[in-house]
Order: sequence, then structure tokens, then C-alpha cells
Amino acid sequence: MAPVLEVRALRKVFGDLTAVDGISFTVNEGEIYGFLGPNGAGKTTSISMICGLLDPTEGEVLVQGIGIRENPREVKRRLGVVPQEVAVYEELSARQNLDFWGGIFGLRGGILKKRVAELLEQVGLEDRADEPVKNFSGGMKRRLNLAMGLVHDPQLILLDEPTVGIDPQARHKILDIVKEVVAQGRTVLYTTHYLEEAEDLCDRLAVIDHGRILAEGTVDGLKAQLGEGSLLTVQGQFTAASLTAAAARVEGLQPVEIADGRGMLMVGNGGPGVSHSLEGLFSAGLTFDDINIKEPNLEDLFLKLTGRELRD
Amino acid sequence: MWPLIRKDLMRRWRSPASTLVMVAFPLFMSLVIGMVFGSGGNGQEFPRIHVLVENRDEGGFLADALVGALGQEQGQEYLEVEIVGEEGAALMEDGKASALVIIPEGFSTAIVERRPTTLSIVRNPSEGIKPEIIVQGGELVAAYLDQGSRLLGGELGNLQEMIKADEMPASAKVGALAARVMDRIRDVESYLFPPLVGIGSAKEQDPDAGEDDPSGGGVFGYILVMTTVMALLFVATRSVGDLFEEKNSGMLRRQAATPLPVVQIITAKFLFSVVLGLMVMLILAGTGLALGWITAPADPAAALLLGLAFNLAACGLVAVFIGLVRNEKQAGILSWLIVMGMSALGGSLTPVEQMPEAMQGLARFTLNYWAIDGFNRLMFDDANLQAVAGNILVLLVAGGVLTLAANLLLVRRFREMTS
Repeated sequence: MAPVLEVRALRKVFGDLTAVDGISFTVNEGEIYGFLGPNGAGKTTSISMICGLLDPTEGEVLVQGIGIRENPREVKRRLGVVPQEVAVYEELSARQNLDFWGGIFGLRGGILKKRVAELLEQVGLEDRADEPVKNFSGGMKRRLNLAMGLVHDPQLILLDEPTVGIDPQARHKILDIVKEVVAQGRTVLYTTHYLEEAEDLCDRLAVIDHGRILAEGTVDGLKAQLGEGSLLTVQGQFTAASLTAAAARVEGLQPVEIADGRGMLMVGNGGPGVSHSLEGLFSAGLTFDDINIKEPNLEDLFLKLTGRELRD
Repeated sequence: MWPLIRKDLMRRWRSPASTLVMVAFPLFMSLVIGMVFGSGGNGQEFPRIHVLVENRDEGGFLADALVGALGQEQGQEYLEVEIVGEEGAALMEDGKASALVIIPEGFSTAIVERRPTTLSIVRNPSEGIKPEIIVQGGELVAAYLDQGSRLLGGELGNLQEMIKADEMPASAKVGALAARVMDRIRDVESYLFPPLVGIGSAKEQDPDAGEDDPSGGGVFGYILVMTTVMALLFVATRSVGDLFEEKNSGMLRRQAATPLPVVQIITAKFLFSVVLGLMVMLILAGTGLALGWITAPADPAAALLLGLAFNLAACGLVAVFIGLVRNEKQAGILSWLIVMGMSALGGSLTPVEQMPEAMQGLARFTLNYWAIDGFNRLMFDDANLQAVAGNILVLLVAGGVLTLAANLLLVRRFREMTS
């Protein structure tokens, strides 16, 4: 598949702060590529550079082979940007908002009317299309916010945390719309700090923190970086050194993240198993207040990569 | 660019409150100031107010003085004063007058002795503003009597004795009393009579003026022109300042991520502001015409051109300041100061002819001056395009320069506002 978006060594420095530190990735046609990271990780700054709102300090952004620096108008024509905040005209109706946005991208007359009607139906606002947006619920505004980024049928859609602050039902609706849009042949760059969304939606994703991509790949591929097996999490009155030493004596037990009083260990498939591993730790004289055994997820990977939880 | 302008016009249409306030402001000001100071529409005189006065303190020197003052020739232009007895209440019930003023028994003595007393005013509920004017006037009289009583104190008592005495008081006694009263008044003169406000007819001071009544509707028309110009500055402030509102809602950032050039976005906002200003101007002119406050100008195209030039200059000026300030709060404060300053200096609050000479010279540096002067000539002197060409030229040049400067400043600000 041809890359729709290529980001090369992108860097943004604000004074002493390096918000984005040389990230590189590609997004292929028809793919949902996720940017997973906590607030302040550099996701929105990256999106802002990709859509031409911020000039990169260094690096290059190419959309379908066209550089944003060289031909910003042509690149912007191919992008649909859905910002994190709900940016709609509250005084206008949903239809008027979409009419306006389509007009900006040069859609006119019957084509615009048809496209607006299609979108209103797609985002489930056709019944309330002519009401002022100020009367809408948060979820409805979010759906309109998304529709406004789709009105000109862009090649690449940049979705910056499109589900922030809405209820689970409204979130599912938005995720369904995104899947539908991709099924129609569009490409999506999706930033989020909700790992469930990233796992559910993204074909590939990058884990980003402090402006750097820490890991990149498919969801399964990233989970595999933790190793195959079960994740054993223990809490109790022990030191990091004592747990590390005890784990080293147990066959097939790999430390993932260990601190005083808390430890995360991977029990590999094909080894002696979880009960054997626990016996080994007990026999080393350790006692635990809490033991948890589960399948590894992206949260665990983030913890392993950064030493902190995704929502910290 | 049309979708951008159309979108802003639709937003104003769907949420018209702020624009309606801008429209209402000059109409309200014209109505109030016109009614207080001048004649009504079509040169008709302001209707006289029929006031009944029941003086229960007959013989009291202050009560008699008050009744006398109400019946003076000067006041008769506005007031029709009828002295009544106890039948006053019945007349009011029949709706024969706008208000009944009751001066209570012992009114004069109470004031001299600085005891509380009440001047009663019965309003005719079926009338609106006329009884209110009497009430306001009564409050003014009460305030003056109260302060006079405090100020003159013992002298007021001496005056009462002199008036009540059977024989003429000695000249020396009168002279001494007058001197003491004058001394007291002189001491507080600057507080009592602050020379802050001057009232007069702009027409009387214009040596080139023709008939008594101009072609328009007198004071209402003049005030409408003055306040409309100020309102248009506020419209420009609000509409160009909409950039901040769009920034706060995230829409400006969103627009910046489209292929639209920044200059186009700014120009569209600017054009929207000019169009809105013209619309407000036309609504106000139409209302003024309908009310008979103004008559249609002899050269409507010149009036439209002058309005266009003024709106261009006003939007350019506001845009320059928005380009210079750092945030919405600063923009709000600065714009308000600029609008009020220019309005005060340029003749939107007081006719320029009534200002001190030095200020009249400064007035020429304001946009208001050129607009008001031009509109007055077009509306009230039947002037044509040639007569106001200078005004239009000044405003167009100012508008051109300011717009150019504003564009340069706003392109830079736009990047800051959207990144």
C-alpha cells in the first residue's frame, strides 16, 4: 500500500521545551494509524505540524508525496482536520455549519447539498439538522465536529482525541463512524489517550511520550514486546532488589517493571506456569498483599516503556 | 470569500441581540436627548405637560415662590400649570392632567427650620413619559431645596421674617443678608454649578443655516446622526473583534487548517464588518425617516458613499488596534477607549461647534467629525456629493491606510492566534 502520510524526523521546539523530538512514521492508504500517549505527550503538536498550523523546527511532512512546506494549500486540500475541542458555530444549525465548511472547500450547489445530506445521515443528525447547534448534546456536537472534517471527502483524516468528554454510547457512535469512513477507502491518523480505543480501532499505532515515539507496530505486535504469556502483578512489603533476585531464580519469569512494593512480571508461555512462578517467589521469603494475573495490554506496555501509567 | 461573509451574516441573523443593541442605542439616545432638549419630528413642538398644583401652604414664601416659578413664561413652553384646590384629586381621577403636585401645609417653615417635609406628586398612570418628567423635576426641586436649606440655614429664616414683616425691611438689613447669602453661594459655587455641560442649539450657532427648522426633524435628527456614527464604531468593534470569538471557539484554528489564505480570511471578516455597518446605518436611517426625524437626503448616493467610507475607516481603525493588542480583554478596553474618545472629541456626544476652539481643531483628527459633518450637510443642508467630497476623501484615505496597516498586523496576529 502506498503511504498517504510520511513524517520524517519531525521536531518542534518551543524555547527550552522540545514538544516533538524527531518522530518519523508512515500511514498507509486505508489504514487507521493511532497515536497513543498521555496528555502533553506531543500528539496535538504533531497533528498541528502535519496540518500546517505550526511550522516544524526540523523535519518533513508529505501527504501523498506533497510537502506541507512546499505546497501547503495542496496538502490542506487533501486533509480533513477534526480538532480536539468542539469547533462549531453554535448559533448556526448543523446543516448551515456543514454548508459553510463545504463552501470553504469549493463545494457548491447540488453537490454540496447532496454531500451535506449524506453526512447528516451518516452522523445521525438528519432529524435535528436545522436546529441551532447550541441546543445539541455534547455527543451530538462531537458528531457534527467530526462531520465538518469529512465534508470535502478528504484523503487523510486527522482526528485529534475526537471522543474526549463524551459518554460511552456517544463514543461508540463516533468510533463506528470512523470505521465506516475507513471502509469507504479513507485513511485516518487518530490520536487518543484511551488505550481501549486504540486497541479497538487502530491497525497500527505509535506509543508516544515526551515527544518521542517509544514503540510502533500493530496492537498484537506491541503486546508481544512484553513477551508471550501471562502478566503477573504483585504488591506487598518487599524491595525492588529482593523481588528482582527472587525472580531471577525462577525459570521463565521475566521482570517487566519492578519497584519497591510493586512488581510486574511476565510468565512466559511454555514454561512451568504461573503457580510454579508464585511458589518460587514465596520460597524466596516474599509475601504479597495483592496478586493479579492477566493478559498483557497496551497499558502494561506503556508502563514498561515509560515507568508510569498512561493516565498519570 | 463569500461563504465566510455569508456565515458571519447568518450568525448575526441567528443571534441578533448584540446588533439590535447597536441599532437601539442611537434611537434611544435620540429619543431621550431630543425630548429633553428639543422639538419633535417634523418640527412639531414637544407637547406641553398639564400639571395641577395644589398649594396647601399658601402664604408660605417658598411654596409661593415654587408656584410662581412653575408659572413663569419660560416654563410655559413646556408646562401648562393650573393652580387647583381640593378638586385636584378628582381632576386627576378624570385623567385631566399628567400630574398633580401637592405642596403640603407648613412646607416653607419646615424647610426653613430644616425639618423633613414631603412634596407629593400624583402621576397619571395612563401617560408614560410626561408624568415621569414631572417626577424627575420634583426630585430635582427637592434636592435643591434640601441643599439650599442646609447651605443657607439661618439666612433662610431671616428672609422669611423679612417677607412676613408688615413694613419694608431696612436696606442695610437686606444688603447684609444678600451679602451673606452670596458669600455662602460663592463658597460652594464650583460644586453647585460645575460648568461641565453646555446646552444649546447647533442650528443657532451655525451662521450658514437657513430657516429655523432644518429640512430634517430638528434635534432628533441631529442626535440621530451623532449617535449613529458612534454606534457604527461600536458595530465595527464588535464585528472585527469577532476574530477573538472565533479564536476562542476554535473556529479560527480550524479555518487556518483549510486551503484558504490567511489574507482571505481576514479580508472576509473585514468586508463582513463593513457590510454589517452599512446595514445598521440603513436600518437607522430608515427608522429615522419613518419617525420623521430626518428627511431623505437630496443625494442618497453621496450619503451611501459617505457611509461606506466611514465604515471602511472605522473597521480599519478597529482592526489596527486588534492587530496591536495581545488579547481579547486588551482589545475590549482599548476599543472602548478609542470609540468613546473619538466620539467625545469628534462630535458624537456634544456638537463640535459647542466645544472650545482648541478641541474643535482636534476634532478634525477623528473619523466621527468627518462623518457627522458630511451627514449633517447631506441630511439638513440638502448638500450633494460635491459638497461632501472632501469628507469622503478623508475617510477613504484614512480607511485605505488603516486597512493596509491592519492587514499587515492581523496576518502576523493570525499566526499567533491559530498556532
